[in-house]
Amino acid sequence: MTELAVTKRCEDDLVELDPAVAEHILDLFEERRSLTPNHGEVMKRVANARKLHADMAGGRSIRAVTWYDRNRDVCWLVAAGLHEGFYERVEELHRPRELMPTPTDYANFEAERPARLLEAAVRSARKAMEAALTQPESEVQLLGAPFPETYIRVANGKLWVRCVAFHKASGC
Amino acid sequence: MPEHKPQTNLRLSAERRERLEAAARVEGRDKAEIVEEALRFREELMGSEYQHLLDAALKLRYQPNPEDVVAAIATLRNEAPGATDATTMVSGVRARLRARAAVPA
Repeated sequence: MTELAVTKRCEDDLVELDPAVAEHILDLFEERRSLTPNHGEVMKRVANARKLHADMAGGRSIRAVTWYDRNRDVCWLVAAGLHEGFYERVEELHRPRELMPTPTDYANFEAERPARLLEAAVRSARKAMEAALTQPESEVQLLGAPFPETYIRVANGKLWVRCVAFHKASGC
Repeated sequence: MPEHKPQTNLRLSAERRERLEAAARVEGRDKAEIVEEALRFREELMGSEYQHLLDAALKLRYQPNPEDVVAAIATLRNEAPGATDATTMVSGVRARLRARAAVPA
C-alpha cells in the first residue's frame, strides 16, 4: 500500500486554513491517494503533480495538490488552499523548487519509518479484530510482512493468536 | 525485524552509462568498482555531517537495539540540513493542527 506524507511547507498551508477545512483535505488525501496515488487531474505546468478537489458543503472551493514519488511508492501532499488563485500560487512555488519535498522532509520521513510501521500494524490489527469477531472460529491474518505472520481466531469466548516463527522449506 | 532488500538494478542515464563503459575500458577496471569509488568520493565531498546522517539512516534500518534506533531517529530529525520539528505523517500533522486549534487565540 502506498505510503502518504505531508511536506513541511504544505503543513504551513494547512495551518492557514480553517481547522475543519484542513482536516477535510487530510481525510480526502488519505481516502483517495492511499490506493490510487497517481490518480487525479494532472497539473499543466508542474510535472507529475495532481489536483485534489476537496470542495465542502456551503460552496467552499478547496483545492490541494499531490505528487507521487513512484520510486519510493510515497504520495506527498504538497500544497493546499482555497480555490481562488491556488494553482497560480502552486506554479509560483514550483519554479524556485519550493513545492516538492525537501531533503529535510525526506530525512523526517526516514526518521518516522518505525512509527509508520507501527501505525500500519495497529490499523491492520483493528480491521482483523473486527473480522475475527464477526467470523468466530475462522482464522484471520493480523499481521504480515514486514512483521512476523500472525493470525487470530475467536473461539469459545477466547482469542487465539498464532504467530509463524519459521516456515518449513518446501521439498524438505 | 523487517527484511531489507537494497535495490541492485540501478539504472543510469544513457550518457552516464556510456561514460562508465568508457571509463571501465580506459582504466581496465570493473564498472561496479568505479561506481563504488564515485560513491566514496561523493560521501567525502558531502562532509562528515552528511556521513553521520547516513550512518543514522543505516542504524534505523538495520540496528535491532531500540536505544540505537531512538538515537538514529533523533539524529535524522535534528541534524538534517534545515531540520525542523515537523512531521511528515498524516496522523502527526492532524495532531499538530488539533493542538494548535485547541490553543485559545
